[in-house]
Amino acid sequence: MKTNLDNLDIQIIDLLEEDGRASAKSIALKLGITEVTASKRISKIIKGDHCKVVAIADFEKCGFKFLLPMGIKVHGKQLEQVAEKISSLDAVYSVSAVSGIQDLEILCATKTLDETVQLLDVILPSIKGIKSITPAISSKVYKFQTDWAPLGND
Amino acid sequence: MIDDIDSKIIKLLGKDARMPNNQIAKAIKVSEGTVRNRIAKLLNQKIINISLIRNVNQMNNPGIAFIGLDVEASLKEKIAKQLSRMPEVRFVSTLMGRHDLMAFVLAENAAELSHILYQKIASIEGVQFTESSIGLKYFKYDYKWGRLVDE
Repeated sequence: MKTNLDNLDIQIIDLLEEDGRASAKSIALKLGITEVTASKRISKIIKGDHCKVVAIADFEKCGFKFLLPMGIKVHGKQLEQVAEKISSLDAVYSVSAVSGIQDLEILCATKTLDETVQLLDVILPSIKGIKSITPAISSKVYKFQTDWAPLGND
Repeated sequence: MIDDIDSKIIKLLGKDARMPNNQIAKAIKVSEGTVRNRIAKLLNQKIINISLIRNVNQMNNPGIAFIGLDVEASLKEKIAKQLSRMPEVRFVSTLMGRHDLMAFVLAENAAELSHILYQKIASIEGVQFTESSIGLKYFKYDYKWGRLVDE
């Protein structure tokens, strides 16, 4: 579903990108529109399916010491079921079906080594249909840009 | 570190960062001043940031690739920084296991993706091998989490 944005919407999105909590009043002032128009447009924008304004929390500062980008290979037709099962795990933060050597690319976050071992050796292997797990631990994150996401699956 | 009040605020702001302070205060039964101070603290200490997230499902034909790279050992950090400077590259990390580096690329379309993969990244000095997986379907993406990296 694609909805159309006009020029004013795009200007408002740009301002929200700079300061996501900017008030309707300050946005109205900057764009020379009324506060009512600004707040109507803002609700339209954030309630639509183009973008969201959210707080993003830092994994590490919230106690997640391990970030694990893993590749998963799946037996034949079970891809969707396996992907849904993996998605239901709390430790898993993203799940994407891919074409290439792997079938799924997933990103997990865990707090301790024990939790990591549990995920890798017990929880994931117990999911029926997983053929192989290629794990890795992220040692240093150089860039993690959070300005995009596939929205609308939640 | 963060306490219980912080986590409740993070959870609410993770759904809608424009929720007014007085509503947050009501929802978690603390004063509005506490909410204001906590949000300021969370932002100052870079525990959270407020982001505008664009929906890639609204792009016409986005090309998303997950790339594992094996590189000349002595050039690993340099290559990580080079990749980070490319605007289409949204995630870069060094790895233990699997590959030396991992990068995620978001391109406007398949043609741009192919240009980035086979021209720009492949020509970086020290890149010995790349393994690319192209995103087909997205089952889960919990955008509430990220790493707030200083650039």
